[in-house]
Amino acid sequence: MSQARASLVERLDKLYEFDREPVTPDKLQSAWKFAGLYAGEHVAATEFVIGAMFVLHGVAARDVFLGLLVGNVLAVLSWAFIAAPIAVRTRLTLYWYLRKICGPGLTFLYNLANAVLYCILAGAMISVSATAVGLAFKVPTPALTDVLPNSAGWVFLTLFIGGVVTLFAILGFDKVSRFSSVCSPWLLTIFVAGALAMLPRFGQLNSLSGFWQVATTKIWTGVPLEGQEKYGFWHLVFFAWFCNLAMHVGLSDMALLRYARSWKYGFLSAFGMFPGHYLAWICSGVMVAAVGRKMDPGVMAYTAAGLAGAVAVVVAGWTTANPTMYRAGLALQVITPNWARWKVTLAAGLVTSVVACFPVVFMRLLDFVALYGLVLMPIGAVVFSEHWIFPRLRLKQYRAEAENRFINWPALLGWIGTLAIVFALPIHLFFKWLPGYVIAQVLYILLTMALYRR
Amino acid sequence: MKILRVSLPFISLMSLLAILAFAAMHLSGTVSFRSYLAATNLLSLVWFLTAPLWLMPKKETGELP
Repeated sequence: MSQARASLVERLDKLYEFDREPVTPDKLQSAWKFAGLYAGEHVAATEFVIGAMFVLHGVAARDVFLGLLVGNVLAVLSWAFIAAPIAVRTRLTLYWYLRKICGPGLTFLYNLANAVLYCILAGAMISVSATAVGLAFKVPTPALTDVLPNSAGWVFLTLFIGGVVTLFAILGFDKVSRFSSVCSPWLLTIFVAGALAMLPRFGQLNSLSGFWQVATTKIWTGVPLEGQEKYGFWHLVFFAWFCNLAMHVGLSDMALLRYARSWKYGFLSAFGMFPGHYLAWICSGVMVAAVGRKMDPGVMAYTAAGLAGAVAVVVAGWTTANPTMYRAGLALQVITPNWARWKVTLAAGLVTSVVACFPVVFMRLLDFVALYGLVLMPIGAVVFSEHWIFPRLRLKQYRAEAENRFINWPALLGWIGTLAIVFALPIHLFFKWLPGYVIAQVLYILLTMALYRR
Repeated sequence: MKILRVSLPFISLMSLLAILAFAAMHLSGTVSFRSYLAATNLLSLVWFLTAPLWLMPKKETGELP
C-alpha cells in the first residue's frame, strides 16, 4: 500500500517537475505579455453558445449590458485581489502550492476531478464545432432540449471531429497552441463584424436610440423561449463572475500569475474579460436573435459571416479543445503508470469525443460552467485560508508538507462537506458558489482546529 | 527583410480593420450583404496568410503556460 502510494506521488511529481521551483526574478514577464495572453485566452467556441443562451433565457437588454459589466468587473477584481497576490508571493503553480497544503493524495484527487471536468469542457467545444461542420453535410443540430444524440450523422460527426482534434493533440499540441494565438484577434473580429452585419435585419438603425429600441424589443426581449428558465440581472452578474471561477477564486491561474512582476497584473485580466466575456457574448446574442432564436452556433456564424463564420466556429472549437484535452491528459497521466504521452492523450480524446456526442453538454453549457467552478472552488478557499488566515489565527501552515501527510483530512472533509451543503442550499445554481466559498473557509479552519488543535 | 517585418503586421491588422469597416458599411447601407460576405472571406484569407508569419509565438519554452 505504502509502496503504491510512493509510486503515485513519484509519478505525480515527475509530471510537474519542470515548474517545481519558484519562478526566479529573471523569468518575470512584462505587463504587455500578460495583457496579450489574457486577450488571446478568452475568445473561445463557447462564447458562441453563452451569449446566445442569454437571449434564449429571456434576459432583458439592460440586464445584459449592466449585469455583464458588473460581473466582469468582479471577475477582474477576483484575479487582482485573490489569485495574483498569492501567486506573486509564492511564485508557485497551484499544483505545488496545493501539494504543500493538502498533501499529494488530495492533489491527486483534485487533478482527477479537473481531468474529468476538462474532458466535458473539451467535449462541449467539439460539439460546437460539429454544428458548423454539419452545415456542409446537412447534419441537423440537436434541439435545445435534447439530451441524447438526435441522429447517427451527429454521432459520426462528433466522433470524427473528436478524432481529428485528438490526432492533432497527439501529433502537435505545441503547434496548435501557437496557432491558436493567431486565431484570437480574427475570431473577435468575426464576432463583432457578424453582429454588426446582422443588425439591419431587425430594421433601419439610424442612431444609438434606434439600436436600443431594437435591442430591447427584438434581441434581448426579456421573454424566455418556452421551457427555458428566465434569467435576470443577478444571474448575469454571477455568471460573468464565476465563468472562470476555477482560474481566479479557484487559483489555477497561479500558473500564469507567478510570472507577474506585481500582484496588480491581475487587473490585466480585463483585457480578456471585456472583449471575450462582454463584447463577444453580446455579439453572439445579436446573431442568435437574427436567426430566429435557434441555438445553432454553426448556422448563426454562417449566416452572419459566411464561410469565414463557419470556419471561425470550427477553429474556435478546435484551438480551445486542444489545450483542454492536453491538460486532461496531463492530469490523467498520473493514474496511468508508464503509459506513453500519446496513449494518455488518446484516452482523454476518446472520453472527450464520446462526451461530445451528447448535445446536453453544450445545450446546458451554462449549468456545466457553474458546476465546474463550484466543484473546484472549495480547494481555492482552502488555499486562501491557509495562506492568509492561518497566520492570523496562529495556526501552523503547511502541516501536510512538514509532517509528510498523504492527505490533509480537514481539507478533504471541508471540500466534500462544502459541496454537500451548497447542493442542499435552496438557491439557484449560479448563486451557490459565493456562500460556498465562505462555508469552505470556515469548515477548513474549524476542522483544522478540531483535528490538529494549535 | 525589414520591409517584411513592418509590412506584414500592417497588412494583417488592416485586413481585420477592413472586415469591421465592411460590416459597418453594410450596417449603414453602403454595401450589400453579398459584398460584405465576399470581403470578409477574402480578408480572412489575407489574415491567415500573413498573421502566422509574425504573430505566431516561437517554439514553447516551458516558461509562460
